[in-house]
Order: sequence, then structure tokens, then C-alpha cells
Amino acid sequence: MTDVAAELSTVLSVVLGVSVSKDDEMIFREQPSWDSMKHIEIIMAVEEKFGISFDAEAIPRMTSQAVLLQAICEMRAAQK
Amino acid sequence: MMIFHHLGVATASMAEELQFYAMLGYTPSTPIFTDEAQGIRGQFICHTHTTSAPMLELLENLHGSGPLDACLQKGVKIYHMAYASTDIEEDAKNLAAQGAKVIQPVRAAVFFAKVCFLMLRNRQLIELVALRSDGE
Repeated sequence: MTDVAAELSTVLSVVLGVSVSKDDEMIFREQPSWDSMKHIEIIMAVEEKFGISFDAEAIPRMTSQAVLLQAICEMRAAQK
Repeated sequence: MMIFHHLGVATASMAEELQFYAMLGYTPSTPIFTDEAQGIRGQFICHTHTTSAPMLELLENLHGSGPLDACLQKGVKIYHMAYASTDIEEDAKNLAAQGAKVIQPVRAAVFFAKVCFLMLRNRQLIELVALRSDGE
């Protein structure tokens, strides 16, 4: 989970253009650069990085770093 | 079926930008319209002398800041490609099946009958529009 958290923070840093630590508790909506397009860019970057695919219904629920991390870990566990 | 319709242009001021597109031969082809739900004001402009130039949709935020902020801050002008669809729900579904993500689901619009926004995997923003019976 730690590695995933670090990789996720890197993805978020790149997409949002801000420094993000794996220990942060970022709420995406609170970021100045966040909007609906940026949200989809985050989801796409995460899908590509971790080799997963979110259901369309789940995407709006991915509102924070913590929620996204949990979802990634669950989806990767389900792949094994 | 999807047929290319226009390119969307983010502007801080449609009036100011129109002066520059006028240098290239563009003139307004529609009245200015306001879409409160999307938080934008827009106007279509066409080239006066040729039909081969793409129609442009000039857009500005309705309330100072809004959905165009990210483009304006990055200096991005042309930011979406729009396609007229004869079955917008089906075309959106087909693009999603090919990996596109829905940013704004199909909904009724002001200028068009319906619109939908998706992002392709290459991060290209696509607008699908369902034309009104009068062609708009």
C-alpha cells in the first residue's frame, strides 16, 4: 500500500501540477486547478499507471487522495 | 453517425477575440447565446469566403471565472472538437466503449438540442451535439 500511495502521489503531482506527498489527504475539489476535466485526467492517469479501469458510476466518487488510494488497492487486490 | 461540426475556442472576451478572427475572414454566424447551466456565453463564427475553414465557437465565462479558467490560465485557445451526432446517446456510448471518459453526460442544451462532453485517451476533449430540427 505504501508503494501504491507513493505512486499515486506522483501521478497527482504530475496531473495537478502541485507537490503531493503520499501522506497528504488531498481533497481534489479544494485544489485551484481542479475541475471536471482535471478530474477525468486524474482518473485516466491512475488507470494507465495502475492498469485498472473504473466503472463510469464510480468515477464521481473518487473525490480525494484517500478514496482513490483505497479504490486502487481494492481493484488491484481483486485482480490477483 | 458523427460529422465534424466546429472547434471550441476559449476566450477571456469574445468581443476582443472576434477582432482577431475577423482578420482571418471570420464573421459571426449566430447571435450570442447564454448557457447558464454550463456557465458560459458563446457565439459561432464562420469564414466569409470559404466553406473549407472550420466553424468556430467562441466561448467566454458567464461570471468572471468558470469552466474556461483552466484553458485561459494555460493560454489554450482551441480546446474542444465538436461532432454533430444523429444518435448522441449511442455515439457517446460507443466512444466510452473505446476508452473515452464522460465528463458531462448527455443533457439538453441552449443552442443545440443536446450536448455531451467526453475525453479521449489522448486527453482530447470532444463535444457531441445533437442538432435542432432547424439545423442548429
